Amino acid sequence: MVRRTGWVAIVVALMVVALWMDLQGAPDDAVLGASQRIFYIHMGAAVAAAVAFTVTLVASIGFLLSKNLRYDVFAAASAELGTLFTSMVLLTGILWGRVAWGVWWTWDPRITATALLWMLFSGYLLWRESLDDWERRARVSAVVAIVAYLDVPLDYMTIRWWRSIHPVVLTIRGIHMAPSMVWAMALSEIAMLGVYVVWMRIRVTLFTCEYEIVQAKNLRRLGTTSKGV
Amino acid sequence: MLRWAGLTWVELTLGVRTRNNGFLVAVMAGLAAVVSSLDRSSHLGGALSNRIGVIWMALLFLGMLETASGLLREELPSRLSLAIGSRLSVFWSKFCAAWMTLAGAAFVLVATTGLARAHVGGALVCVILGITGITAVGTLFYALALTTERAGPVLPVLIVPLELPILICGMETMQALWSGKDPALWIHGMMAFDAIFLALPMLFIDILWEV
Repeated sequence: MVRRTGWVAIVVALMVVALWMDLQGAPDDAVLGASQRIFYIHMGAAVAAAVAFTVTLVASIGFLLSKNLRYDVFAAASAELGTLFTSMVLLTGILWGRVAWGVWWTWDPRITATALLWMLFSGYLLWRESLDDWERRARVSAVVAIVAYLDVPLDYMTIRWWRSIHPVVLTIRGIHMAPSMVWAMALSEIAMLGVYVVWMRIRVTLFTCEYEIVQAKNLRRLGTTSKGV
Repeated sequence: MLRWAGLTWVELTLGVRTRNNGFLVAVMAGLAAVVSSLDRSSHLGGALSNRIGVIWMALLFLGMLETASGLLREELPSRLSLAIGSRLSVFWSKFCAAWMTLAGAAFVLVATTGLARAHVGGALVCVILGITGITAVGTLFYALALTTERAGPVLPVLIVPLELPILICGMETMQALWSGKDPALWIHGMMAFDAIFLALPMLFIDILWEV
């Protein structure tokens, strides 16, 4: 418990520093003014979502190879958090887009691909909820997660492959931002990843408890049935 | 190969016998009527994007209906073991039966809307690539539903977003063809989509139909 509280304290401190840097430390954008500050949270959430979905993919492949339910617990927990971070990406993107482009929503390739990603992993979570058998749920969910993950690299590449109004920040030639802004962005990303790690630990513990309770109930039911027989 | 062809034939005839295909043809005729009326209406008259949009939306829903009717016909996963040997041949026979029905529907829809008059070859390639992608995604996901009794109603939530890329690529290809632009990028997109979703069942079908 003490160790977990320590982790939470570190992440809270990181978040406070990142927020201070995002809202105070970084300079205003020459064109967009203070609204640029939304971008740091947007980018942090996007990186955390990408990491979360990648963990889901790796854990799903791990489950299919080993049939160990521990992997499925990781995949489910990470998909939940990834979907949450994607919601943050969409929300902050909508707010930033209103200021930068003058519209709340546009069918730009990047925005459409992100909305699709959110729908796919929401579908994945809904699908999981509709299945009772843990073993079967894990098997089918692993396949769904692998299929849904196809949209993650696609989402990343949309602004490079198609004509998009979404800004390209990271290129092979470097980061297209002022150094002080890069610091704010990096801190925001680290803080969001910290939130992901801590939240992941909590969700994995909860999922494991849920699984153990179901198993204990099943064993008890089996015991009662065999006594009856 | 013979087993696969036989199973495809059974699937197609079963579709006719159980009047599933009749229902699909009725839906298709209704959609064609809507397209034709859109064409004649004064404010939307002849708008290319409307006609293309209706065709692809119709194909999307027909694809979902056809793949669903083919696979949900199997009430128990254990029935699949009746196909001696490969479950993959069962899967492909269902895919092919759905593909053929959808190809028929696409032919009628494209002919009714008069879109094939100028670019027959382009329309053919675009529609073939499009229905292959739609059928591949639908068959894979309804195959998932076979071993997961209560999950059927949630399926469209997964299938529709997954089929949107092929829908967008198909519409953009047609738009590009008819407005004299180069559709290569969109056609390549459809080819990549088809290749991925035709390869995935090869990897996963035995895992999914593990009873």
